[in-house]
Amino acid sequence: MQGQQRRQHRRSDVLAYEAFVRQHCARLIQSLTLVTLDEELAADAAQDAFLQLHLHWDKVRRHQNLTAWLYRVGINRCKDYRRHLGRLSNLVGRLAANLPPPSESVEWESRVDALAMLGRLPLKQRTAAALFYEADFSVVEIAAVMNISEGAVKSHLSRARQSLRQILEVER
Amino acid sequence: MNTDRADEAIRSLYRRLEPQVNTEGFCQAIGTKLAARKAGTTRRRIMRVAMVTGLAVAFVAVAGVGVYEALTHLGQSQEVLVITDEPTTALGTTTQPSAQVAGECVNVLHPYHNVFLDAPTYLIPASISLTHPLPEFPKSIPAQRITSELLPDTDLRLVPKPAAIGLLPVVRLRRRSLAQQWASQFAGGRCRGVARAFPSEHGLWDEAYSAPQVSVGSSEDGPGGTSVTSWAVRFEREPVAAGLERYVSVRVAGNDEVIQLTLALPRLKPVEGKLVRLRPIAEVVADTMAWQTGDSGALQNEIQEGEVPVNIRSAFLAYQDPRLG
Repeated sequence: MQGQQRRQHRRSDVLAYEAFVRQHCARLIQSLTLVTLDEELAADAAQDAFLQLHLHWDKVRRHQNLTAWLYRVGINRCKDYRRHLGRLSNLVGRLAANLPPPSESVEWESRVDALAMLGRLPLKQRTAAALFYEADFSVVEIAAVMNISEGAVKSHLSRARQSLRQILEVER
Repeated sequence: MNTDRADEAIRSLYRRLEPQVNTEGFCQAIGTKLAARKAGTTRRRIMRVAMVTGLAVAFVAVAGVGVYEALTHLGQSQEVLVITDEPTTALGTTTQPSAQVAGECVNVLHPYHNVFLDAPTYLIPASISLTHPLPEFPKSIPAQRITSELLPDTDLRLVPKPAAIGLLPVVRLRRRSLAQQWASQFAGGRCRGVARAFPSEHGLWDEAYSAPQVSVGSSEDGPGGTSVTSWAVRFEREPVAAGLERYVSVRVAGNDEVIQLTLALPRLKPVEGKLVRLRPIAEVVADTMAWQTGDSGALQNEIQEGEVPVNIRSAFLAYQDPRLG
């Protein structure tokens, strides 16, 4: 009897997890892409975040804000990847230092152009903006994800907004 | 552009910039990773169980061997073992030339070790300086026994006859009440400390070696109704003979008094200023097997009264493995 209950409980856990993944995966990947400006990296980080969620599902499912927890793990994972990639690109940069420069200049499409301009934002501003505009998080939720105060979130958002206005004006 | 309108514009910019996500593909990828992780976890769990089982078996085997050794060695009637060279020196300090010493080397069966090992041989060269002649060994006592060594400056009170003679400690194991066990544990910890400290305090061991480990103890009733605990003390030293090379047994009475000391020292290095009674080689050579054939009750040496004023500058027992020829 107990074994049957346990199996049912486990089954319902699996279903809840699946539903949660389906509900949030697209938005998480998109938000992380706009933080990292790298789709593959964002997808990897999102995958890791969901795996972590599965690993700690019993504990985390009762978390006050499960979505915020997921985004926090995803963003932290992005930072880890970036650190790793930074070291790697430094190495590659040193190795490629003696190569001749590319002869043809690349024409950027407008989307790529906008992403490049987005990339000029400091990471914290970019993260706050992505969570606010893309994931539709409130200031309180962003503060929880980024582990900073609400005032700091507002400050980051304000500065990001100012910079993004310039992007929009350039686009026009 | 006010804030709300700017937010709206930025939000639409973000919507344009966001990538298309293949949700099904992503979910499948997660499912694959989870399956792989689950397989890995199962494999790791099996490995862990196998490792823990192996360790447990090894631990039980080692503990079994340790307990067996302790039960075999503790409470033996043999006591201390310092075999030295002939008391050729008299008053005043003399030093023998090394060639002469080498010529006097005699193969002697080490009585203690011969009980447990395959007759390792000791060569007994020495460069010992004596300030006084050694006392004559009493004729009435069978000579080639274990020499019971007292440390004259330790106030050791040797029991005339070891309490455990003829009985293995295992015979004395008995079921005790919980209160007795608690009391015994408390006293055991204290005695263990005494046993650990004693050899170092009395210069029996070089301080350069690491702290001794007190491994196994057995309790029995001692003289005067006191409880006597025997401890095996082991020291980290270079191995010379398997099993017993670092072995010391200290018997601690209930009042924390060390009443008996048993050393199994392949190489005892006396410390200057400490007094150790020496045993003439001639006696050892005369009948090296007597300790094996005699009546076990007669194996006991009498307690030597009074101080033996011997000033040892250096002495050593060189171990030679007989298999090396």
